[in-house]
Order: sequence, then structure tokens, then C-alpha cells
Amino acid sequence: MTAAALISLVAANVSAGGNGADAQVPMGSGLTGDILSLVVTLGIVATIIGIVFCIYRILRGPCLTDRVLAADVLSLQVIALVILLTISIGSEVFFDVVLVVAIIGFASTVAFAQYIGARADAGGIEELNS
Amino acid sequence: MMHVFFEILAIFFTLSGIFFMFVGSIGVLRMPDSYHRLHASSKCATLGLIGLLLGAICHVVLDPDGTPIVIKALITIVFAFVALPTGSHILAKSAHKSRTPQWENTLDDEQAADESGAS
Repeated sequence: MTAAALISLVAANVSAGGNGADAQVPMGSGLTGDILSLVVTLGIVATIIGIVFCIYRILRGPCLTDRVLAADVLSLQVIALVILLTISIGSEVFFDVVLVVAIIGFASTVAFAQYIGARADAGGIEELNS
Repeated sequence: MMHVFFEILAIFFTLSGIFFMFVGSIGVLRMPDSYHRLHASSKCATLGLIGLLLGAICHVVLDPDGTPIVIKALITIVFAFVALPTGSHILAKSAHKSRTPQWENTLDDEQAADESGAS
């Protein structure tokens, strides 16, 4: 899959109004395809609202643990957006992102957890929870 | 007939995944302390992700071009079920170690009682 084919695929999907009418695996004609298109649109809206909630928790969060877990949930919401995009256009070109973002989210969560634990061992508890 | 059946399955799994993702993000926003928020984010991590991936699988499973999506989604499901609860557990343990403040209505803290009893 070359870059030009990718760009033309995205352009065709955008010009079709997000319905995926010109995609490789179209969403199906008839009632189930319409319902699935509606569900994907609903999911994109719900995921964007969830991203706003997670960003609020990252900015606001009282202690470092809240910020780390909100970043973890934020990576999951990005994964959800990529899966919804895959269902919408029916192409595999974006699906590698799912596993990569899952691995990076897990690794960053474990790294920050080790950092929190090590900082608690070093005696920085008071300023950590401020 | 088979196509309609898998489309209905895809709609069901995608809707359940969206529901759990949204509920998990609401829990991250609204829960009172870090441990309750970890509970909500674990639900979002396992059930929401599995629902969405199964929806993607059911959507493309009858199409021969969709075989790479099915394989990658299965690999991601196995990885998510192993790794994401482990990350939540490690984060909860280190949060408890750094004495992250608990909700004022928390009933019991058995780990702190064990540690104080051992030392």
C-alpha cells in the first residue's frame, strides 16, 4: 500500500461523507450497514467526549497516579478511534497502530508506576501528593 | 444470511465497546479517589477494547481481504488481556506505596494493616 493509494483512499472516504461507500470492504448496503454507520458515528462522538474527560483529569488530577491512569485511558481512546476508523473504511492500513499504541501505553504506565514507587522509596511522598 | 448475522454481531460488539469506553472515561472523570479511578480505567481497558476489536473482527471476517485485520485483532486481544490489567495492578501497588490519599469513606485498608503488623 503506497502513500498515494493511502491518500486517495482517505480522500475518497471523505468525499463520500464518511460512509465508506468507496472503500475496500464497504459497510454493506441495507439496514445493517446503515445501523453500523450510525453506530460508528455515535462511537466517534462518545470517544471524543471521553478524550475531553481524560484531558480534564490529566490537567486537574490531584496526584501523579491520576495523571498516569488518565494518560493510559487516553491512549485507549485513541485505540478506539483507530478501530472505529478501520470499521468505517474497511481497510487494514491503520490497524497496526492499535497494537503499537497498546504496547506504548502499557510500557509508559509501567515506567511511571516504577517512578512513583521509587520516589516513594526515596522519601518524596509529601511533594508527590501535593 | 451469514453476512447479515455477522453484521448484527458487529453492531452489538461495537455498541458494547463504545458503551464501556464511555463509561470508563466518565469513571475517570467522576470517581472520588485514585483507586476508584483505576477500577474504572481497567473496565475501559479490557471490556471496551475487546468489544471494539470483536466488532472489527465480525465486520471483516467474511471478506478475504480482512484476514490481516482478524489476525492483528486477535494478537491485540491476547496482549490486552495479559498486559493492561498488569499495568493497572502495578500502578495501584505503587500508588498505595506512595500513600496516595484515599476516599474518606473507605472502609478498610488490609495492605496497610499487614505492613504495619509485619514491621
